Amino acid sequence: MDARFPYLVFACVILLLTALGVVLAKKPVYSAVSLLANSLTLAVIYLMLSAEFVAISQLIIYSGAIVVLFLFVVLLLPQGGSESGHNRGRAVAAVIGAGTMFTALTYALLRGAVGPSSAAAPIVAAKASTVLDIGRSLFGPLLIPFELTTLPMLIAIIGAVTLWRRQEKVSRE
Amino acid sequence: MQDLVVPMLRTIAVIAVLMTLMPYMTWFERRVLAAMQVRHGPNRVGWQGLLQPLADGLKLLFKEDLTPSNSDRWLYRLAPAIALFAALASFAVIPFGPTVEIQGTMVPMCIADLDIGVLYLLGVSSLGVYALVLGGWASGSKYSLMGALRAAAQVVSYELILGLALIAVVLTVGDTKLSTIVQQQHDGVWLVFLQPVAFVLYLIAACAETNRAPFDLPEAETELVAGYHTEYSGMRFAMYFIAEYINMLVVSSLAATLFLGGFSGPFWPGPWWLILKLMVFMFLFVWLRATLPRLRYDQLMRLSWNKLLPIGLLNLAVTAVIVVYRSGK
Repeated sequence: MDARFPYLVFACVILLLTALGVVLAKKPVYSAVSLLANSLTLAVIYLMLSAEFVAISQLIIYSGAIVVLFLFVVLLLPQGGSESGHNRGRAVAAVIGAGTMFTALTYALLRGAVGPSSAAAPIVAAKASTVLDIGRSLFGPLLIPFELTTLPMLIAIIGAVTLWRRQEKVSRE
Repeated sequence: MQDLVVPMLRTIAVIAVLMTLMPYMTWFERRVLAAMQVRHGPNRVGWQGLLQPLADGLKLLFKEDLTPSNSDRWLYRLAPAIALFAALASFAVIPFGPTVEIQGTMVPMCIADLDIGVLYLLGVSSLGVYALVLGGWASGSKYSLMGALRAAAQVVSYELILGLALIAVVLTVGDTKLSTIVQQQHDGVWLVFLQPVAFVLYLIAACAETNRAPFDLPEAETELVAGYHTEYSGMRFAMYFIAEYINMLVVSSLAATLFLGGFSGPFWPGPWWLILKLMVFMFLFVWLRATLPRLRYDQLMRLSWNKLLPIGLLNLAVTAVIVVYRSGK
């Protein structure tokens, strides 16, 4: 067994605990801080799997930008620091959603449906994925899928601006 | 065992040096600032006031540690720790000398010379904003909250500029490893001559990222008392204070590493050159503080999004075109 295995298990336990913290914390601010801890732990796990670039991307994008945004919104909300009551309907929906996801992923893993695709082979083939390897794959064999991911993002941005514009018009009238 | 002990010793040594250097930065700043304002500055404790930082440190250590009743207790305690962690962790990838041989083992003069050094710095320094936001919010006072909001908006805006400046450097060198960047400057010319625009962008963004004058809006004492750390006292305040100065050391040494050839230089061993180059930037920080008045909030935002961002993008595009053109030949 790999010597890193116990550490990996330890990190996974922390990951699970922080994930539970996000869901179960009474104050929204604590949820946001748990989410930060969760994302940092995920980065640590990537590092242990010698995926340095993915770990740093996780750190820069999720910990450094997205969770800051969440925290910002939570802090600005008047009820950000107050305790929110439990919402049973939401909890049930979350359990069903997470359960379905878990079953589907386990099934796919057991069936061997999820694995390195042929297009991603250059990354997996390299022992440690360096920035150079990832760049080569992204701008070589994976170029079209990579560029296509920008499309949903563009749609999201346009959608956000449109929603905001509609609200702006209402408030002006 | 040895592969664990050596990095730990290196880490402890670097933290010790930083923690020793940091108090003397406050002395340096106060003396230089005083000289620029035709005052004396601290000159009573020890020769030329050299023991003043020690006295200040002891004073802070013995101050009462207050927790406002209105505060969120856990986050209030967590925030200064995040600040100090982010500041110290950033220093891990900065190389301060060439690899030396000690009793048969090659010891690199750097805690961890990562392949993704530049990206690591961006990632870890982006954690610093949590200290400001959480600390300011958890204090439960309006001045702190105002400071936290300003800090978050400012740091997030200027991080973009910092990133653009760093990407231009990485494009020019073709590697994100900091030791390679130093080596290439050692063999060729300093990057400040190849990337003057990125250099200026970096300096402005670094100033804003460390919340130094003229970008010290988050802690503007004339309007916000002390911004996000208004309610902090004793060692918790000191942790914010240490983090700010170590952040200055980090951005200065990164500027020296990326643009002024880092530790490379004739005659002296590497670390001395890095410290010398670092002092140049520290002096610049103090000089800026003595010269420029604080920016207004709208000016700050306009400078970042309307002026620096287009310049940074343009610089990046031009650099990319030149790099592709030269590699094609």
